[in-house]
Amino acid sequence: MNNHNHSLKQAKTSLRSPAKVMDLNRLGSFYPYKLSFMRKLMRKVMQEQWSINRVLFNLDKEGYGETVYEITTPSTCYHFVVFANFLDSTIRTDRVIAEAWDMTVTLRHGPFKPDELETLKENVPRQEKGRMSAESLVLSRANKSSRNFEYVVNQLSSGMQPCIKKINEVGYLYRTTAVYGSGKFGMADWGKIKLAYQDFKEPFSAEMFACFMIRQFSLDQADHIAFKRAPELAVRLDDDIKRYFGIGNATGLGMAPFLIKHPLLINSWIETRELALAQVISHTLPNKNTLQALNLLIQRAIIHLNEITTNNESQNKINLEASQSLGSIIQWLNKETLQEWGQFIDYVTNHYNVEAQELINTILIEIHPEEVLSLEENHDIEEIYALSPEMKLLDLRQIIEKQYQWALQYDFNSKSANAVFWYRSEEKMEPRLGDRDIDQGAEKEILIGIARAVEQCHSTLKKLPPEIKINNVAEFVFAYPEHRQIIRRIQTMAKTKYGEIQANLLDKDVLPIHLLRCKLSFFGVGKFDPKSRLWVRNTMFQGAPITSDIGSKYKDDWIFPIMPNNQMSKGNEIH
Amino acid sequence: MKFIRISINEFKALLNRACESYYGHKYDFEDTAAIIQWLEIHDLLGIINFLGITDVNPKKLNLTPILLKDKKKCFVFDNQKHSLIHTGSIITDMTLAKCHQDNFCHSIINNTLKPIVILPNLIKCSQYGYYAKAWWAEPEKNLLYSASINPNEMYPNFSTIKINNSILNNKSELDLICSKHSINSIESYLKIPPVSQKGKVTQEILACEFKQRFNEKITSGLDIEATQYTKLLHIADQILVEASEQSRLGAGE
Repeated sequence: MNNHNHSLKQAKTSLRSPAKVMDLNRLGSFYPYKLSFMRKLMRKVMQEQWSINRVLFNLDKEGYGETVYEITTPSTCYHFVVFANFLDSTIRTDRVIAEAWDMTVTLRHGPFKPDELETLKENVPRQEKGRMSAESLVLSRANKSSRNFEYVVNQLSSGMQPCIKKINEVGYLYRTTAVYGSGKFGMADWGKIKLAYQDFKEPFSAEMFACFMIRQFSLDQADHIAFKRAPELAVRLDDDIKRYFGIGNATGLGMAPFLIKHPLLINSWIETRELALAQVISHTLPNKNTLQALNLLIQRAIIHLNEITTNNESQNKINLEASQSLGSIIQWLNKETLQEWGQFIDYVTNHYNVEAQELINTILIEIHPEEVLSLEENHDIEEIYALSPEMKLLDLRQIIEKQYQWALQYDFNSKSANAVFWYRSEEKMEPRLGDRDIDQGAEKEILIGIARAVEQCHSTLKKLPPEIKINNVAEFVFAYPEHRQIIRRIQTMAKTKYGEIQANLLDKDVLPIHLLRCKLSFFGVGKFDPKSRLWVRNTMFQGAPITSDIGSKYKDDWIFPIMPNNQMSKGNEIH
Repeated sequence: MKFIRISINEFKALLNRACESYYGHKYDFEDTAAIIQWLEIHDLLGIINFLGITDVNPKKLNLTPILLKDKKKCFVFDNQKHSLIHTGSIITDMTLAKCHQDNFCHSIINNTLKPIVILPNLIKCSQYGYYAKAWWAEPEKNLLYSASINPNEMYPNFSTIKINNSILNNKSELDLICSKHSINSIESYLKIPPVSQKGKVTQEILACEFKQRFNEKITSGLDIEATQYTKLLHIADQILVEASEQSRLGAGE
């Protein structure tokens, strides 16, 4: 066994338990981390020095028109096409059911061919109602931030930089409202992308890159409009401020079923994160350098949390408590002599809530790149949930009682445990949450109640009449085909550690927002601004490099972005 | 004829919705959708085979086959003139489990429709490390269909053979063999002379050709005949719930 395998094995022995990690409340406290998809993507773009050039910039003075960027990577070429249109502010909505947007985009393989622009123009702005070809990887759209965009353009056209504090309130110029990939609307299948377009072989990396490019266009468009308004007076947006602009995002329930329907993929994401943490704890000891880095990053995280602006009271409370916890943890660190990270983790676990615990875990991973980046290469997950028909029923029962014990604790005869149902609306198939006592459509509910399905299967197993001679799973599903689907899942997931979210998603008090935040954290999204328990606004790529940074030294240090100390923006505060 | 080009992922999502809508949660609708998908991607009329059975209401009818005989290394099922789309997987499950126990299982499925559905199920046998063979006949056309796969392979070989023999008298019977060891020729089971002469094989789809068909679809997508697509979409849309002001609250509005 080589050293790497040995250390991996060692780390695996100290992985946290699924009961702890897969608790919904904890998953809803995850922060973006070193191996989040955006971080990985930016490392790749910067290290491989992708070339990103505007090859068409056909915008009028209001910023409406078409823009095409050509992206050259070491292996191939792509183009990113933007259609910027006028949108009446009265119909601007984040909801997936919208029919028009300020900006619609697509990321496509190959060099840009001008003769394709008309076909794209007929389809891309129509989004779900258009059709794309297999050369397209991503289809997306975004709306202007009504608070920020006009303000920034006004400032620039007046020869001034925007006020950082004002920008901080929102953090972006545009907000994406849907990002489609993986074969939707005729685009390239995920199977094709990972084989033919190696640059985007990591899950969701093409989608993340499209968001990065939307951000870039939003900055280019603001500069352009300001210059057109006042050619003599206008200034370009300062690069430090550009980096501080992220791209907004509004995420609703659509993400939640994904987490439930892809447990093998989720297992892989969470296992990688847990392995990163376990490697740090089991392979490294605190030293002067790492303690200093820890201290600095905690301080930055405190500022970051304090700077987050949201009208959501519970999120404000979470941020405030987390910030106070970190302050108190720094004081403890300054007093204690740490011998090992386990001692630190134990202290945080015993004294602070899960939000603070996961912040500290994120920071520990961040300051140990040498331990973590070896896990960067994502192993392709083939999601096969095959039945093991020969399994003895007793073995199946034992698996359920051992690994799905969490699912057996609910009483599904009680009204509250079975109070809600998830369904797809006829409006763009939007996933929605219904109340069984109020809403129509419970008979069409999505199979998302894993705990209930497991409990029902277990109950049937327990109540099997003795006269019915059933030995194995094949005979069981022959007699009870309604349990075949959940048994395939149980048998498959029994071979994994994480993957099953240990919560009853049919409970009356279910908080889907935890599911959203969990998935978004793996994407690399921060600054959560919940609008209800069902949807959240957030910011992507804030603090990340901009395209003009490609080619310069990359620090990979944009976790917990904070306001830049920009001289040009001082004195411009809005009172 | 008008066609609509869709990606494999899009097709999978559409079939999942269609099967969930059609079967409800009473059956393993995702598995059934995967079987229809496999047939269509490999040019074996998955959609037509599915649309052809949708006059039956599975929510009101028991589609489970009757187990007529359960002996060592052998099952006999009566599929009650249902399509194998409904039952292929659970019959294969039974066959696999017995093969696991006895190293061999020969399942005879009487009164079955759409035996072609057994092809993707053969792959399951192969993935378990078994050899598998299946055959059925169309006596009115004097055709014998046979498919076989070795352990740990991705695709079967599939042949259509012109044969004039009284053995082909039971037109709705399907034979499925799953074995730990290599399987004797189909001819030996049928007690007919070997059909090795190339002239008798009217069509042959080799594993590499199945793979090629898949690769073509993953690269360019599938062309689906527009009326079939519309019918499929109509079934799939039955799973959607009517929108209302009240329902919009459930999206966080």
